[in-house]
Amino acid sequence: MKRLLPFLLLILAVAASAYGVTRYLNTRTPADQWSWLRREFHLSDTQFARIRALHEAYQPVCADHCSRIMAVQHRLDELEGTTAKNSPAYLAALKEWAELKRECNEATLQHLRRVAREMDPDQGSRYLALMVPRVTQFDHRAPRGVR
Amino acid sequence: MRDFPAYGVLSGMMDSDPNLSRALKNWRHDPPPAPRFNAEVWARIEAARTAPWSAAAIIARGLGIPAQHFRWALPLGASIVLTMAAMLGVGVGVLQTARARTDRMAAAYVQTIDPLQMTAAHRR
Repeated sequence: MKRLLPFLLLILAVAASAYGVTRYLNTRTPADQWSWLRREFHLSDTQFARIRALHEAYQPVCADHCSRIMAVQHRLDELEGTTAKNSPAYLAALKEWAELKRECNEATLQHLRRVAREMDPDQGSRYLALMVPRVTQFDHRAPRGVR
Repeated sequence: MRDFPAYGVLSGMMDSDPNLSRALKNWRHDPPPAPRFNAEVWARIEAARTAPWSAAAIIARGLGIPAQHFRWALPLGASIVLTMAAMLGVGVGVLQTARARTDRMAAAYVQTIDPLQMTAAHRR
């Protein structure tokens, strides 16, 4: 019985060491998102090529949204410093911002659905389950408060 | 020898009582041989060999394994338990790393297609 406690401690030490070494070795290997996407959703070469093409085709749309978002946010920043928050100009800018957010969200979700359709059905469902909440649950208001 | 008082006392007693001195010189102790002495010693050795310590003996009895086999079963069991502990540690590490990597990669991927997250990252 006097050997039981040291043995239990040894078990804990072995398990903890194995865990630590595994975490260390696995986090050391860098991975880019594309090779991760390919491996994670078991994409064939054809599927991967189509998804890359969809991504490239979406980039101009995304860039356009980005520039419009930056413009509206810049205008809102200016109006916050110069006019009252109930002024027509500020309220119009806020409305535009809300519209733009909705439009961007819809475009992003549409792109995700298009990408998912290129995958095997079960992988596509898994892809949507993983990605959609990251788009819909992103707190878009947070950046406006961070100055 | 004369410097030691006790020796001096004994020496004095023997000198003073020649009968005692003679009796002590002739006295011999011949204990009778213990019956089954060897058998009992070997029985105790065998008992210690078959039951290495009480906990092992109890477990062996509970598992229905003869104690002399349990002597080998115990280190083997300990090795198996340690191997399983190592495998458990590796398994949990692999699962947690995979989950963390999935989170990180999915977040990075979404940031390349969601203009709102792109601009938010830019503003931060």
